[in-house]
Amino acid sequence: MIGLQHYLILGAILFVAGVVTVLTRRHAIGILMGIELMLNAANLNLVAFNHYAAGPAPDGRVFALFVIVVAAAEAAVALAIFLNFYSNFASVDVDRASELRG
Amino acid sequence: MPTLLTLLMFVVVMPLCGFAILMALGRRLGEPLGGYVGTGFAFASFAAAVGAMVSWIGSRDGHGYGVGPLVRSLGWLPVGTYPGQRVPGFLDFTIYVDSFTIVMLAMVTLIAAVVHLYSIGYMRGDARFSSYFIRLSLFGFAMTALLLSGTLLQLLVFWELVGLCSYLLIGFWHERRDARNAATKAFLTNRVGDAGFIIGLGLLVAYVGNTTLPDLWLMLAPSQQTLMSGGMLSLIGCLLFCGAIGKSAQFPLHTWLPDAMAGPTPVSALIHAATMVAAGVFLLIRIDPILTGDARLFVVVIGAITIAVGTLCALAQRDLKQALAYSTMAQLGYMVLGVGVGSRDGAGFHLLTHAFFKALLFLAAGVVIHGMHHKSRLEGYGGLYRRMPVTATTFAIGALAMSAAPFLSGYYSKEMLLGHAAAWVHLAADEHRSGLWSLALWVPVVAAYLTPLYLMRLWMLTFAGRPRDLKAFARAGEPGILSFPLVLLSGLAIVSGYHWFPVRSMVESSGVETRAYAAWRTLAPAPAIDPLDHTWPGPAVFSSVDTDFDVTPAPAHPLAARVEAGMNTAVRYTHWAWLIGIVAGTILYARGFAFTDRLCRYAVFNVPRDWLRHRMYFDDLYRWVLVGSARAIGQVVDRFDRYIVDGLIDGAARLYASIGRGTAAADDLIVDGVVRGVTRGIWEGGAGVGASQGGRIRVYVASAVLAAAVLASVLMTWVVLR
Repeated sequence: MIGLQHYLILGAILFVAGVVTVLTRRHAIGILMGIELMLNAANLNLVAFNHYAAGPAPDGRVFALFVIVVAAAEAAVALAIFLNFYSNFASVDVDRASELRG
Repeated sequence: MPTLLTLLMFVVVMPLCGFAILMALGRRLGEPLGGYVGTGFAFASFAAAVGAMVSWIGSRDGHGYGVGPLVRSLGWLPVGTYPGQRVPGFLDFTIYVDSFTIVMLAMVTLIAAVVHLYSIGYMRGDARFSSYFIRLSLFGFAMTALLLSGTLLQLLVFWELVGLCSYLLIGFWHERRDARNAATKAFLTNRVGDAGFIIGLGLLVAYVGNTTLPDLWLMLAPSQQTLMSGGMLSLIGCLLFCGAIGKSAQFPLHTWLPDAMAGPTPVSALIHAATMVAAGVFLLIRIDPILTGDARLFVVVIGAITIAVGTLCALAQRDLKQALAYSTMAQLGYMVLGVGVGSRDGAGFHLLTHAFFKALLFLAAGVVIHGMHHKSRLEGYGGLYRRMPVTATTFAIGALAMSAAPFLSGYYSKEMLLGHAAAWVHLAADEHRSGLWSLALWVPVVAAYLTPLYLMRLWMLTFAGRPRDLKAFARAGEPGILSFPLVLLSGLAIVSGYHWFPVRSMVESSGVETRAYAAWRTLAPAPAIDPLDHTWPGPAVFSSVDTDFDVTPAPAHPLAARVEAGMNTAVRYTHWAWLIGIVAGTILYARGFAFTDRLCRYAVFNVPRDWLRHRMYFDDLYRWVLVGSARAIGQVVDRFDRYIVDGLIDGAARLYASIGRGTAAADDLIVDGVVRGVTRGIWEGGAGVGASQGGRIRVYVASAVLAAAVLASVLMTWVVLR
């Protein structure tokens, strides 16, 4: 029987996968994908808690929908930044973005 | 019934598997193995669809198939309840299967499979061979999933996926500028229609809280519903129809269809027969029960205009594929008009028979174009019968079927559709409506005479006479892998209209099934049907099936006599149309272009021909009005920005500059002295701190994660120790 824990474990795995992706990638799009993974891990927890723990109101699912919308907006902004970045550096390697270094 | 559901799942999943496998291994498989893999999955999907059809027919009794649809629903998101509703607002995932779904699935998967097989030959040597099959498989998945959708929201999802796939396939040769532009144009034109579709969906959710199809039919049957005013229901019907206008290339948004010919020819066959444009008519048939009388009138008007524009433009095109594209448009107009006059059976039947002969015509055109090294102008053809006898014969069969020659499939479906249109016109006359309503019959009847004419024109100019391009003629030929699908499809183009072939009976029984479902859900007889009244009928108005089922029989209605009379009218006016058209076409084009070119020395013929060749100037009109007005607005805004906004800012800037010069002197002496001292201190401190801030994002993220981990462990320790 699948219970709340299974969802939480899956969420944790997804989150750690996202963190590791962000930590190890130099490619900007890869980092964005890692962030999406983390957001989706959070979504999974929201929906799972809503199902197993919360009352009848669909708060968790609505939050998850908000997160999806915010993630879409974030992806749009981030991609715009990368595009700009690419036109300046001709690459999307984030380690090249060190102009502000003191 | 689990077997049926399993089979249906296979129908949808097989193309998706093909897509996934080709996506992963496509490049490694390469040519031609990648094509065979895609084709294999397409044929597996077709086999599953045939299995589903056999299981569907077998699970019914001897009278027919229409005992009831198969509905499986899965609640997804509650959106609250609304007053006066029988069903709480709920957005669902629903599978709705009736006989029409089953027969459409069989048709779509068959044509997809045939097109896959054909493409192996057609795309030989293309640099992105397996990429092509990836897109084709996804297209098959999107369309089959669309057919199974039981809610409009779900339908919209696959609807957009179908649109995306056709964008990808029309623009497959994206090195070519015309293909790129055509793909973008198709995509954007469809967005215009989809905007209406989405607004209609939003209104439905707002008023009904639900987009599940069988529930909508029950709640919004125009004669009974109390949820909203009749005008609002008409508006919703028209807005949902807007989606179909874009997808099925109806009159104001038809301009993308001829341009879409820039894609590979098998793709055109798929788009025109089974997938893209069929989706619009499919949607229209699905929302047929909730269309009000006013919405139907709108549908009829759009359909009639589309028939006229498509048929006329097809007469004058110089490009084989473009002429076929316009013929598709005209035939789609027939189907839309059919739904408008209440003949969802006629529309569905014509959709299916049209799919077979139009796929046949396009694939035959593809053989010609392939054989003539991708030249599709009619000027370069002629005499190809000697080089491509199979293609010429099958093209002729397709053309005859489309011209509604007796004993071929198009005859039966077109007769049914025109008969119902005539019945509608008779009913309107009974009610003393304006004589303009009879155009719903006359436009398609006149078009029925012109259809064989332009098809004969294409055949004569391509296959008969003397070759006009001797060099290309000498090298032309027809490979076997391209001919086999033509033979298969020409068989279907002949038999698919017959009564024993499970197309017509399946389409007709789907209306009965809908009614049975309504009776079962409401435990009451289906509402009486009263055409032409503003409360236009429930499903299957002109259903001619003998209802011999245990469910509520269709109410006996004087309509039957009207339909009988309508059929007689239609047969009287169009029975010999095919022969007249063909004879006229043969006479006009017996010597290639010679005769018509001589006619066109006179302005009487030349002016309309130019008008039609330029596609009635719709493209220029849209460019002039839409692009022009956007440019004009842009220029006005630009002027405003440059002179008024910038002028203000410049003035302010000048003012500040003079103030600034005054302060600068004071600043330099007093403030700067202090600041310089402080800065130096901060600079030296900053250099020390800056060493740790390496500008590496990953270092930052790592330290943030580390800090979070430390914090979490401190918290946990605290919780445990407390």
